[in-house]
This record gives sequence, structure tokens and C-alpha cells, in this order.
Amino acid sequence: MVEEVESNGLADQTGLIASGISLSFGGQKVLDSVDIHLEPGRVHAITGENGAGKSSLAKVIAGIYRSESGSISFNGANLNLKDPRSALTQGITLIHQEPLIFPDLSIGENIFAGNLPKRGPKIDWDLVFQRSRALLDKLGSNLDVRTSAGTLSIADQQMLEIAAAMSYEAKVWIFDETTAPLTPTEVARLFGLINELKQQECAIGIVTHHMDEVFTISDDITVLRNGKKVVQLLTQNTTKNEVVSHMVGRELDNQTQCAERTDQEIAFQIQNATGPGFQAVDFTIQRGEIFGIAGLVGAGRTELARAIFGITKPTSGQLKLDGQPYEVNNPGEAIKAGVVLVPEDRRGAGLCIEQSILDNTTLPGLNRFASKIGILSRNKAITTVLPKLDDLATKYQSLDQPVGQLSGGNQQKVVLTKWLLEEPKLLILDEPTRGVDIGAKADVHRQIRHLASQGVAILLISSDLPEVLSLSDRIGVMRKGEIVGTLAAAEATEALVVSLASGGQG
Amino acid sequence: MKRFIVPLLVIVAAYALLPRLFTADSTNSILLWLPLVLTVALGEFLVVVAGGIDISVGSIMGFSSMTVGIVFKANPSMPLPLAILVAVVCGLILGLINGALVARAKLPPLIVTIGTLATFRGLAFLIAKGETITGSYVPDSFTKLSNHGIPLGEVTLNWLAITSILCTAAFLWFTTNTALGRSIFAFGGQPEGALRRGIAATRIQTTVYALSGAMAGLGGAMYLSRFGQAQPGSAGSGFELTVIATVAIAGTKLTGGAGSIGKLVVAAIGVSALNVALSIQGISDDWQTLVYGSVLLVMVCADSFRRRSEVVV
Repeated sequence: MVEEVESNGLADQTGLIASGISLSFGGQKVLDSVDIHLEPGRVHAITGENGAGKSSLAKVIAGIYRSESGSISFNGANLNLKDPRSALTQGITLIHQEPLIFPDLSIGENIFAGNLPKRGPKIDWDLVFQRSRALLDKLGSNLDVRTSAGTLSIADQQMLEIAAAMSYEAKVWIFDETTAPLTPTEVARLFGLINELKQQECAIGIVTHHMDEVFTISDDITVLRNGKKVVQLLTQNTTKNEVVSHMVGRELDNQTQCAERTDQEIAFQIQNATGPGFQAVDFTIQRGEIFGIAGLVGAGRTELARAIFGITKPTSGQLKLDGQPYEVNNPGEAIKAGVVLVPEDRRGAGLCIEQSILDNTTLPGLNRFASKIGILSRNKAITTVLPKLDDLATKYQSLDQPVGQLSGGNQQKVVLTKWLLEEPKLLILDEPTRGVDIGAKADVHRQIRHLASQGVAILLISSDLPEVLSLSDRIGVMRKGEIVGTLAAAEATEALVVSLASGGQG
Repeated sequence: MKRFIVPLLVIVAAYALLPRLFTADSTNSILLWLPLVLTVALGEFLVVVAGGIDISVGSIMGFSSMTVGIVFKANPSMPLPLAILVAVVCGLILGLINGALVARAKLPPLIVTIGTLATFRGLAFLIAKGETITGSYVPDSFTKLSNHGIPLGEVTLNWLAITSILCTAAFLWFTTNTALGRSIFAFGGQPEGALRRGIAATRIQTTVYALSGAMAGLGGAMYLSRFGQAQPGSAGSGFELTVIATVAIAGTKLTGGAGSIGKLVVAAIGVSALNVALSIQGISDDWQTLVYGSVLLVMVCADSFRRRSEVVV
């Protein structure tokens, strides 16, 4: 069976064949002689860790980046993809993770932008609206094509991009992490569409690092690592574990490593606190303890974190840090007191994306790198920052590289480094590994444990239940703003936490 | 109609300031200003819709009016259409320089056109070689374009005004019926998204700055016709403020992506009326500058506070 498919693959020139694709940015090789064959009527998952080069490969195929070498052919004919237009007109389309629409234009024009049908020298507006209506009908949407697109949800915006691609009658579709902003229902609808395209003999590529998606929808899998193709697999003949080990290229330590804790002094205490989004919250965290908070979305976890960090204020209750009353009016005071929050939204709230790694990491504590008269010492900053970054196995080219160029996992490591330099007493982590690939996740986990072993109290908020279970010494489960149960690591199971969080039978 | 309220208010304000504007004389004065304002504003409008700005239009007017004047001086019997063509080509070339700097060299439009504002003005001095274009060099037939035309009772719809109306019609057609015209709106609203749809930034930016230059060049010829003389230092000087204020009053989204040529026409009439009202009232140019500057600031604030507009084709 396997051999049959592979021998067919060699002889078969149908579909899109990219071979020997290489790309570098600023001297760093992003893609190194990568081959991929997207066959008609098959879904090909392109997977790998963040920074492995999957999105770059997709962008080369869509004509957004130009490959430095190699060739791309479709059904045996060589393509010259010099810009997105040439890819589009040859039936290759890329659906991006974040849709970008034209807010001031009508929905119909949004779908046909760059491809407006003409009658004689004039745009045929009747046809624009008629055809966009038909496309949206096909996608099961009843949006009014004549209204402006300004207020659409992300899912609807994505649908406009899909409709736009359909208007080109695309034969090659690449979906780049398109499920990230979607709800489960919307994901199901998208997968339905992908299956339909498959029926129509389109060649489909999906860029994703979610194993569940890979195994739900794909027929073939190509794994990239550090810009190189590692392996191509048939989905039906492989397992998640095999794919993951190809992605990471090393063994993961994902095992629980909770040493038995001896009683330590209490670092942080919150007593009967009520505030916006939470009520009657009561817990303590010892020095060196990881206290996980689990709960469904909207259970009040983030609200609690924001109140502790001084963004909002608890209306009642008492907070103590190192035995001293802890009352702060804003995050600045919280940081000064030794409480640090690593926010969920890295790009928006955690980093200055255009600034260098060095600038980002030294920002909160600039004074520490300054001489008496306030002149910053670059050497002092570098010698402080470097070991911390290396502790986390951060991958970067130079400390002067803008953090925007780093992959998601490495960006998160920069955020962590920044706050570690503050030597916090209490570190609040809000979804520390969301959108981070498996390898980087393990690095971040290791660092969290390392910090705890140095005596930092850690409040871990995460929707990733296995993460909470494997990292935490104790777990508080929140539901509707209250902590409905506190479990020790030894007794906590996924089932127990879920039943507490959802209010099921415990 | 609600969307026209701001530009209409400017007209109302002008007429409230000076009821005498209702007379035929004043209307004729307004029709002397309107072609200049409208013609140059059309080009600026496209640049702003594309998410850019062109500060250099006043200097392009200065350069083109000097060039046409010099050509007339050398060859007084030159056919008028050729003179106008010279002006448009002058402007087009200067506009292409702006376009190349913004689109090819990827420089910020504000800085580029501040630079060319000074450079093009300097060029106007250079080609003038210290002289001014006096009335004696400009043929009567050329100045007559600004006060002869189609009589409507006591009011004369002069040839310049007719030209600007024709230009407006052309721009309207271009922006609603051509792929390139629509691409300007798409690009201005979401440049990155436009790129994904195969709309190339260089093509859009080159087009809008070239067109803005060409319209300012035509505006320079209109300036020479209307005033009958031109000086390298003053021809078109400061006109960028009038024009950008007009575009802003027309409710054009100053971050790009949306705007209406209908409103631009109303705004141009308002600005021209205001200009005449202020002049007749004997309010000095300094004060006029202050008025335009303030109006522009108010419009920028309004644009920024306004929620996303719901303009649809």
C-alpha cells in the first residue's frame, strides 16, 4: 500500500510540485532546499515547530516570498511566481491565519478586490454583487454583499478571503494556521469546506502544528524542522507520537516532576477576596510552589490575575506578600513589590515587537543597567541577559535582532527573560504556552520548574489541562468566579478537574 | 445627505460671513477660485485615499506656471492646448519623482513631499533665472480662459471651471469604474490585504503621486491664466494647505481607504466661497492661513474620533 502510493508519487506530475525551495532572511536560512508535492484530491499537512519554516514555505508557494533556488510546477508546467498576483491567476491561493479585509468597501467588492470583473472598459458591478452572492451562498452565508465589511467577525472575514480565492477558481489551496481564531463550530465548517475542495480535486496544503487537526483532515504529512524537510508520511500509517518526535527531533520531558514538597514559608496569601469577576477567593502559595488555576473560559481566572497585578482592584478581602499587606493601585506598584504578570497576548501586551531582544528584556529594569549618572551600560545589560536567555534555550541570531523576527515560542522566552530579570517573589503566568510549539513548550515548562526551585512562588493560569496537571504542586479550580476546590498534585486527575470546573458530579 | 453635512456647513459659513456672496459678482469670484482648488484637490484626494499625502502640490503649481510662462515668453503664439499640455507634463514628471521616492525607495510620503516641496520651489527659481512672468508675456487669449466661457445670466461659467468639472467627471469615472481606481481604495484601506490580492503597492503609489502631480501641473496653468502673471516664490505657494483642508473637509478618511468625490466638489465650493468671503471682508492672507490650518486640525480630530465610516460603493 505504502509502496504503491510512493511510486505513484514519483511518476505523478499532477498537482503542485515545489522542489529545492530555499529562502533566507538577513543571512539566516529559513528554508533549505525543501521539496513538497501537493496532489490533487489530497490534503497535505505541513507541520513542524514554530520557526520550522512552514509558513515561509506556504508564502513561497503563494508568490509572497521568492525562493532563492529550486522550482515550482503545476500539472507539469513550470510556474514563475514573482508576486501574489501571478500565483493567484495561476490558481494558487493562500488563506492566511489573520484575514485582512477592506473595512470601507462593500462585502462584494471585498471578495473581488484585485479581480473585479469588467464589461468593456467598465467594472460590471451587477456581476460583482451577483457572483459574490453566489459564492457566499455556496459557503452557506447570508451576509448582505452590498453592506460594508467593516464590522464582520474574524470567521466572516476569513470567509471573505475564502470566497475571494474561490472567485479565482483556485486549484491549489494552502491554509496557514487558519483555525487559530475560529470557534470549534467554525473549525468544523472550515473542515467541511476543505473536504469539499478535496472532492473537487483541488490540491490542498494545511500549515498547522495541532496534531488533532493533522490527524482529522490530512492524507499526507510533511514535517519541517529548522527549515529542512525531515520526512514525508502517510497519515494513516503514522501516529501523533511519531510526528511529534520528527518535529522536535529529540525526546520531550513531559513527565510530571513534582518533587515532594517540604513545608516552606508562605509567599503569597489571598483571603476572602472579591472583585470584578471573582468572589470569596482564598488561597496561599508557598515560596517555590507552583499553584495552578484551572477552569473554563470565563471562570474568572484572568480577572483574578489582573486584580492581583493591580490592573483592577479587589473590592474586599486581604492580600499578603511575604507576610506584609499587599495593596497596589497599578502594575507599576505591583512590579515594585515583586509581583509580575506575564500576559497571554505576547505581541500586544508583552513585547515591543519592533525593538531588539536586548531592549525588550532590559526595559522594565533599565535602572539596573545604568551608571550613577544614568548612562546605560550595554555590557552590563548583555552579561545579565545572556545567561537567562541561554537558560531558556532561546534561539536568536543576535541580541539586537527585533523580537518580531523570532518565532512565537522564542518570543515567549524573551518575555519570560524580561520578567525573570526582575527577580519576582510572585510570578503570574497567564497562558504561558498558548500558540507555542511543543519543543518550546518543554523549554518554558523546564524554566518554570527551575524558577520555582529557586524559591519563586508561581501562579499558573492555563487552559491547557495537561500543562496545569504536570506543572502544578496544587491546583485551584475556578468556576463562576469562585474557587470550587483545591487539589494536591497527587490527587488531581484530568477528570476530577474537569468535573469541578464544569460543575459536573465530583 | 447626512454625510454631506460638514462640507455644506462650510458653504453656509461662508455665505453667513458675507451675504453679499449671493451676488453675481461674488459668484464669478468664487468661480475664479473653484477650478484651482478643485483641480488640485482631485489629485490630492487620490493620494490621501491611497493612504499617503502630497505636500508638494503648491510647488508643482509654481514650477509649472513658471514653465508655461517661460514657454509663452519664448513663443507668444504657442497654441493654448499645447501650453496646457506643457503644464500637465511638467506636473506629471514632478509627480513621478514623488511616486518613485515613495513607491520604489519606500520612503515616508510626508518626508518625501516636504523635501520636494522645497526642491520643486527651488527648481521654479532656477528656471526663472531671477525673472518673474509679467502680464506682457502671457497672451490675452490665455488669461481669457479664466473670465470667458459659457454665460449663465450674469454669471460666467469660465473655461477653467469647465475644465475642472470635466476633470471631476473623469476622476469620478476612474474611481468607480476601473480596476485601478478601485485598487486605490482597497490599498489605502488595507495595504497588506491588497498585496495578498495581487494589488501591487508600487503601481498604486506611482499612479496617485503621478496623477496628483499632473493635476497640480494643470493647476499651475490655471494659476497663470487666472492671475496673468507668476513669480517663482509666490505662485502656488501655500496652496497645499488649501487643498489638503479641502480633502479633509470632504470627509475623506485621512488614514486612507475611503472618500467621496461628490463631497470633494461640495468642499471645494465651500473652501472657494470662504476664500472669497475672507478676501472681500479684507481679512489678510495671514488670517486665512490660520483659518485653513484650524479647519484642517478640526477635521483631523473629527476623522480620528469618527467611528469607522459606512461608505459603500
